[in-house]
Amino acid sequence: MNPITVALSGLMVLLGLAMIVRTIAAGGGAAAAGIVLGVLFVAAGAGRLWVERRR
Amino acid sequence: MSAARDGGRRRLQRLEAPPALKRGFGSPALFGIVQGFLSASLYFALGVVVVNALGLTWLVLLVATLFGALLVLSYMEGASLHQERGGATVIARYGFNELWSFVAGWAILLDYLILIALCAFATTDYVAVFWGELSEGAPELALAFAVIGYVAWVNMRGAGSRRWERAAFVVFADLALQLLLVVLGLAMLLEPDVLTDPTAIAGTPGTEDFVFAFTIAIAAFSGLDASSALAGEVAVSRRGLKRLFVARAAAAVPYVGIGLVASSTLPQTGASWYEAPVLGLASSFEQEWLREPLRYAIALFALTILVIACNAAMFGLSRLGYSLALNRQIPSLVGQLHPRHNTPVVLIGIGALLAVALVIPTDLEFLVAIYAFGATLAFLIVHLAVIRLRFREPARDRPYKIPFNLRIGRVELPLTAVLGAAMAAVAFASVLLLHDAARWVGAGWMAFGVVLYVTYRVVEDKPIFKRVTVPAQALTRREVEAEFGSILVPVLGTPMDDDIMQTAGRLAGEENEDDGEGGAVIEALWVFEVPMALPLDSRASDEDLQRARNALARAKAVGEEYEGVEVATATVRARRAGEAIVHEAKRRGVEAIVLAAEEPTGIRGGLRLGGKQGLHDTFVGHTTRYVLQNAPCRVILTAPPSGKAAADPTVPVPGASPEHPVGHPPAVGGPAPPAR
Repeated sequence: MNPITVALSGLMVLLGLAMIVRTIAAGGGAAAAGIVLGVLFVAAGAGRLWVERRR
Repeated sequence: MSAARDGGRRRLQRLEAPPALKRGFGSPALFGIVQGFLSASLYFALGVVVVNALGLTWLVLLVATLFGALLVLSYMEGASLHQERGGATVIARYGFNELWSFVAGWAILLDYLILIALCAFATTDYVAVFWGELSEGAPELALAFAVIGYVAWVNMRGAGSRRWERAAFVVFADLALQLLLVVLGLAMLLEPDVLTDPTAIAGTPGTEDFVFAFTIAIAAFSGLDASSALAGEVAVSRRGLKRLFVARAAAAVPYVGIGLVASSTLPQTGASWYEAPVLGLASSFEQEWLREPLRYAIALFALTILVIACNAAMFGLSRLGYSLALNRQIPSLVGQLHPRHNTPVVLIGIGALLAVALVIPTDLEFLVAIYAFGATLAFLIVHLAVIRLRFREPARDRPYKIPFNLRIGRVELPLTAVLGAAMAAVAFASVLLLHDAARWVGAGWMAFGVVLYVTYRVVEDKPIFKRVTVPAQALTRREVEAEFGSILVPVLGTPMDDDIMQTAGRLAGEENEDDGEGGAVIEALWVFEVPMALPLDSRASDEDLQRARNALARAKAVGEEYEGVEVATATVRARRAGEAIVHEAKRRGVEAIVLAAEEPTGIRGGLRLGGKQGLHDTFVGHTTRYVLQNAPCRVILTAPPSGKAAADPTVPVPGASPEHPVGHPPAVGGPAPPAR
C-alpha cells in the first residue's frame, strides 16, 4: 500500500473520530454538524484505505 | 541544443505518473482535471459561497458534493456509452438531437470562458502575498492577462493527456494542504459551538441565498466535462473508473471540512478575504509562526492550482470547440487546426480574447453567477440525456451503468440521474430568478449561440436537428501535393459514399488551395442501370428516384464541407454502370474518378453450398474492373476497411451493412445499395 495514502486516509479517520467525540461531549445530537462531518471523514478515510487494500 | 531538449524530455518523463498513482486514482489525468477544477473553485468561489450560505456553508458544500457524485455517475455512463470527444455535447446528441447537443456545448463553452477569466483574476489576489501591488489596478490586470496569454500559448502548442497526469501530483499535494488546513482549523480556529449549532457564529442564510450558494458550489464540477472530453483517449478500465470515483469522493471530504472552518471563521475577519478566501482562513491564525508560512504556502499552491485549472479550462474549450466545428455546429473555419501542432488555434485565440474582456470589469460575483448559469444548464441536459438514452438505446452495451435503477417495463430508470436532474433544474431556475446579471448575460449568450447555430445551418443548407460531420482532415491546412481540379464520383447510396466524397474532397480541396484559380469541381454521378428488357428511356420508379436524390444531396453536403470545393450532381441512364462512368468521364473531361470498389460478385450461392473461393478470377466486381481498364484518366479506388468480413466474399462488405462506423451517419437514402 502507498504509505502516503495510508497516512492521509488514517489522518482523515482520526479527524472524523475527534469531531464525533468533541460533538458528543458538547451535547450534540445525531444530526449535529460535527457528527455528520465526523462520520463523513471516517467513511472517506476508511473507504480510501479499503480501496487501497483491494488493489 | 538537442542534448538540452533531450534532457528536458527526460525530466518530463520522470514527472509522469508512476504506476502506483495510476492504480490509486484509476486515471491520474482524469483525477487531475476534475480535482483541479474543484480545488480551484475553493480558491476563487469559497468567499462568495460563505457570504451567501453563512453558517450553512458546510451544508452547501456537502449537498454540492452529493450533486457532484450524481453528476459523475451520469457522465461516466454517458461518456462510456458513446466514446467520442465532446463530453456533454456527445451525451446530448445521442440522448436528444443536434440542437440540444449544441445548447449543452455552448453552455459549457461559456463556463470555460468564465473559468479562464476567474482563475486568471483570482491568481492576482493570492500572488499579492508576495507583492501587494498585484491585488489591484493595472498590475492586477497585467498579471491576469499574462496568465491567460500563458495558457493560450501552452494550448496552442498542444500536449497530450500526460500533462494532466503531471498536474495530478500538484493537485494531490494541494489536497494534503487542504487537509492540513482542516486539521489546524478544527484544532485552533473552530468555535466548538459550531459543531452542535453551525449557525451560532455566522448566522442562518435565507432560502434564496442558500440555493444561490449551492448553484455556485456545483459549478465547480464543470471539470467533469473537460475530463469527459478525454473519452476514447485515456484508457480506464471499469475497476479504474470505480477507483476514480472513490478517490474523488474521498477528496471531497476535506473540501466540506474547509467549509465548516470557513463558515465559523471568515465572517468574523471582515471583507478582505472575499476574493482570496483561503488566504483569509490562514490569516485568521493568531500564531505568527504558523500564519506566515501557511500564507506563503497557500499563495504558491493557489497560483499553481489556478493556473492548472485555467489551463484545463482552455484545454476543455479547445476540445469542445473543435468538436463543435467537426460537427458543423459552429463554422469549421473557427475550428481550423494548426498545421504542425494540430490544435484549434483560432478558437484558442478567440477564447483568450473573450476571457481578457471578461476580466476587465474585475467583478468576481458577476463572473461566478454567469459561471453557474452555464454549468447548471449543461448538467441538467446531461442528466436528462442519460435518462433518455435508457429509453432510446436500452439494449446498447454500457461499459459503465449507473446503479440504483427502477425498472419500468423493459427500461431501467436511473434514479441518481433523476435526482440529479431535479437538483440541476432547481439550481438553474434559481440562477435565472435570483441573479439579474446571470439571467441577462447567460440568456443573451445562449440566444446568440442558438441564432448563430440555426442561421449557420440554414445558410449552409444543413439540417438543424441532425448530425453533419466534417472529417478531421478538413480542419487542417496541411500542404499536400495538389492533384486534381475535376473529379467524377459515382455514388451508390451506401455509407461508403461519405468515404469516397471525403477522399475526393481532400484531393479537390488541395488543388483549389494551391492554384488559387476558382473552385475545384466534383461531379457526383448516380447511374440508373436499365435492364435490357426495358427501353433506355423508361421511367425509373419513384423509390429509385428518391434514393438517387437523397444520395446526391448527401454527397453534395459532404463534398462541399471542403473549402473551395463545388459539387455538381447528375443522373444518367445506362445498360451497364461501368460503361456509363467511363462515358461520362470522357464527356466531362475529368482528371480523375474516385470509385468505391464493389464486391467481386453478388452471387454467393455457390460458395455457400461448398464452392471454392479460387474460382473467382478477380478481387473486384465487373463495374470496377471495366472502369479501371477503360477510364481515360486516373482512377482512385476506395474500399471498406479490410477484415475477415470484407475478405470473405460470402458475406457482404461492411459498406453495404446497415451498421455504420462511428462518425459516419447513415446515408439519407437508406442502406440498400442499388443493383449493379
